[in-house]
Amino acid sequence: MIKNSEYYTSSFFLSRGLFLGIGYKLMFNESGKSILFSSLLGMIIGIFLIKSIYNLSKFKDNLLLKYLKLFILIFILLTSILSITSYIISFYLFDSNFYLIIIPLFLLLIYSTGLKNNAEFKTANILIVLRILIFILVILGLLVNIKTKFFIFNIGNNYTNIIKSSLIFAFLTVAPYLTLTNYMNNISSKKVIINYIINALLVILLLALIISVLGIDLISLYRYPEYMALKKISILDFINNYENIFSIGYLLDNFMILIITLNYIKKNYKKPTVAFIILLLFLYLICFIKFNMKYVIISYNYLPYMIIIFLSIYLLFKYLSTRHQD
Amino acid sequence: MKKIIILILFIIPLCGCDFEELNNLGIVTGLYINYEAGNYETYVEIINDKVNEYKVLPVSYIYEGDGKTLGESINNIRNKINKDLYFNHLELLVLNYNVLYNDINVINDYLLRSPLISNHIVTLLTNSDISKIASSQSKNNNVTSSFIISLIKINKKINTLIPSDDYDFKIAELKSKKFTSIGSIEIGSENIYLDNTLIINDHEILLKLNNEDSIIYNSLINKSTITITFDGIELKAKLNSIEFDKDISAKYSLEVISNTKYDLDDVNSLNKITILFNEKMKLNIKNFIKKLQSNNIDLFSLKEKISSYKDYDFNIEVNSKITKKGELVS
Repeated sequence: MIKNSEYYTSSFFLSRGLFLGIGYKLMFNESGKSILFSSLLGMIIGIFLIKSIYNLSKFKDNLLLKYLKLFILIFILLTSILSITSYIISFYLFDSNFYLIIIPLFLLLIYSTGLKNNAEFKTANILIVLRILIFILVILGLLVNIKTKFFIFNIGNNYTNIIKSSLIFAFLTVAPYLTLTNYMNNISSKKVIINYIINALLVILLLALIISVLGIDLISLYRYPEYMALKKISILDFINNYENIFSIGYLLDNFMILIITLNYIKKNYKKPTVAFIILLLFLYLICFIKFNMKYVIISYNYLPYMIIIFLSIYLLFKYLSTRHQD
Repeated sequence: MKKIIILILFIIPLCGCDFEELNNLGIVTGLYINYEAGNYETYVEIINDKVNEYKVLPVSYIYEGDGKTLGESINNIRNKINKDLYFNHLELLVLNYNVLYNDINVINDYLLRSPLISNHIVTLLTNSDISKIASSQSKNNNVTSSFIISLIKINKKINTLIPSDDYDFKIAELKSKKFTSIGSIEIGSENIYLDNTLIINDHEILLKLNNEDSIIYNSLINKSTITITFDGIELKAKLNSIEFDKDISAKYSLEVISNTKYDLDDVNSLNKITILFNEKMKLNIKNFIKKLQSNNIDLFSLKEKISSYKDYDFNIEVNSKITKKGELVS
């Protein structure tokens, strides 16, 4: 069992992790100027999703559901490992050898899966101090540099794209909560929902600030608008170029998703599963991502949708199976 | 023990990062590009990092390269120097008009695609010989790009021109086919000088603003403090707010710089000054907007609101208040 505080701190990391490079960009591509509206819509869908995950978590998974859940977790891990490595290659170690970047990362992941006593949640409890500090600095830094003419809240008229975008928001914020289902029932449903709403609102706040700093035109140019917005932070004309320090926050979010998900798999599936998945992630990176940009683009465009499809099927099947149990 | 083994394993990859010694970097501060007959002619200005006690060395070096693409011309420069070109401190980009007429996005794309190139670059256009601009300061032993940047900073104080250093915002505007402004620089008989702002769209220069228009442009678009002189009084004016609808309404706060005519302790005089300022600004803004309308330039996105934008007669309202009158009693 974990403490309630560990649940809250972990969820703080989990709700934002899948947005780096993938979630934000996909949402911008789909809904453009209506992104804030679709995010709010996404949050409402997300509340229903988190409520249903909470209610269904009281029932045990049968074998089919267990492996369906494993698929979702694998897609979450693939999304996360792709975004963390591409991000490091793009902005931190662009000249370094690919293997020199991923080998330490994987060693750390292997090490983290060997820890006992819910060490991943305790890590979250420690890192939260740094994460909140970075988050506050980022919010303040962006607030100083916003241009009101860029802020746009448009409902738009392309409803298909808005719905797609809101589904991306809802599922990417909610999907990582699957790793907390074993501990959810220690907390009241009201608190779980409030916790989700706060986390989702923080994602929306960051999104609104990115739009207000860069503007929709510039966002459409960049692959990582969330990083480029940090580049614009300039306080009193001398606090500049802190983007690499501030963006460590994004890496922490992703890293926590990786270790919490891997530890969840270790605890809930047969012993070799987690080793097999780490190997799968490693092969995914060296066979597809390193050598061919085509697979990176395919992964960027389809992984979030795979999470949406599999999570929807999982929730539907689980709902049907619980009805059957009743 | 397990932890120690893992920590030792960590050391092996961590010490293998590629790195460049500072001495091996050619730090580029200025990039000057011309395009002629399908050929890019590029000049880079590299800061000299060597010091010699006995001999005065130039503070920067200019290297030239050409090629069918920008990348090719820069690679040709790389062949001539024994340093790795480092663009992260690039401050200035000067482009010939021909680059704009051909496709400015080619340059923008090349520069912004790399994470190693700064996006705080001042961009200027020129109709003069680019090689002369690049080497204009070598006789004075100045770094040309730093000289031009200082010119711009000083100009900011005397409020004629403010070419923006938000390079990527300009590119985004150009890419989405919006109207944007770029400053210009020319070379006279002896020295380089900052010329007026150009309003551009896509590959075209639509309008070159005169001094008066530049001041209004800076006030309305960049919201910078401007200086206005009339009737024996000189004022600094800062735009507090502006609303664009079917009418344009602007609010200014004023600071007295010099005054030889009015008694500034008299409320009626203060009122008279604000009324005169409002009238003058109203006229200037009206003329500026009319010029934009006649060239079919929509800098303020008014076409969405007004269908007959080109012929529309805007009602302009200017309000102001004096907030400072200086250290003299009256």
